[in-house]
Amino acid sequence: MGLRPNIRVLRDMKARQGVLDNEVTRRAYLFVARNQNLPPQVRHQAQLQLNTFGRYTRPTTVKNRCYASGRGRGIMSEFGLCRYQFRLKALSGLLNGVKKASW
Amino acid sequence: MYAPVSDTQGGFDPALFLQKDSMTQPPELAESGDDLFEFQQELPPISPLPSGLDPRQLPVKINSISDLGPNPTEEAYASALVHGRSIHLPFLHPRTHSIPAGSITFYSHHPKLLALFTHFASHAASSLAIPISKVIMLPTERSLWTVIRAPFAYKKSQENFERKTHKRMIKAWDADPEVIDRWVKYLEKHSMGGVGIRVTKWERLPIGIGKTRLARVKEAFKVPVLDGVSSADAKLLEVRQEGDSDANRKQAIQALGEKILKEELRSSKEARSSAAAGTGTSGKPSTAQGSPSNSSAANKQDEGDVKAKVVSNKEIKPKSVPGKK
Repeated sequence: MGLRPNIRVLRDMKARQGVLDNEVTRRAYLFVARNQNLPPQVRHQAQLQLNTFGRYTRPTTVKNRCYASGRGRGIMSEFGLCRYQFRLKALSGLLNGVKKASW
Repeated sequence: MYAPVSDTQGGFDPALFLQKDSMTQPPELAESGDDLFEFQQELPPISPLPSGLDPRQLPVKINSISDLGPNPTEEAYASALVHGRSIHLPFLHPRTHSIPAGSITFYSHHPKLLALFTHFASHAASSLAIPISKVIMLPTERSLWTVIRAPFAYKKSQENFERKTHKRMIKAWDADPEVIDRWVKYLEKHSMGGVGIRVTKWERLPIGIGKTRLARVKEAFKVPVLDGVSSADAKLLEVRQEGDSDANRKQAIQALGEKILKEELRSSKEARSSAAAGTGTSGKPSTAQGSPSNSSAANKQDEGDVKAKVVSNKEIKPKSVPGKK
């Protein structure tokens, strides 16, 4: 959890945990649903089962958030920070090797 | 005031104490070196060093390492007296066979740290007599990020940040893998904060290592044959485990042929024994019991006859199996 967890950060954490727990099951159903060699009825059933999964199990609900401010936009994956927090930390010298560019 | 003590009962006479003697006076200084020795020692003749340097002329005082010449020997290098010795490059041992043994790549965000650590690493390698290259400069990697200065809006004013990763490399040849390991361990022990190293090592294995390793792995994976399984089945199993190949197919056919042969011989033996048994027993119980026994006996006889017929139709000689000698 970051320095300023807001509700969206908590929701994202819940989603990440749910995805982790259900990944194997989801992948199994997905394999059946996408498999061309299986009969269509079986594939259809698998797809219906996939649709029953809740939102905290789908990998698409996972979103990178700034660990310092909780912002959802302008995130740089390499640092896990939003652009403003990145700038603040970089200017303070808290990011390894990052300095003001000049050329 | 101090009065001199006349009686010597205490055993202390200051006069004696203040007397001048060899213990209180400094020794006479020798005027020349010859006075120090009673006799002149005959020194053994001094032979020049293998590199041709005269030991009496050492150490050689020079202004810089480059004064030694283009390819100095290790002796000349080690015996040279030069100001700021530790900052100079180490002696680069000549390669004996130019066979790559390993290479270390150094990464850092700060080039001065790299300069220090690479200097340290090259001196360490030189001390271990590993033939190394000079420090190779690899191209610098640069990441650039442009971010809006403000937390909200004001897109037009942005700021650039970068992170440079400087890289250096030292290549090593000819040394034993153990020696390279030692060098690397030494560097790991005295590693520097802010400098990362990546080690690439080459090891040589004897010819035929693939076959021996494959055989060993196959042995490990082999399923143990149970006691109840016949030898022919066991052989078939063994052959099947080894997978598909020309040689294997031949072996598989052979094994299968042997198995069929065994089964046939066994069945022919059984048929003969059952036929003999059928003819023996059919005569006795025919009058005593009713139809079932008769039918059973008849069946037995029929079977025996059939088997006998079958046996007679089939050739008892073993079939010629392809691949079998």
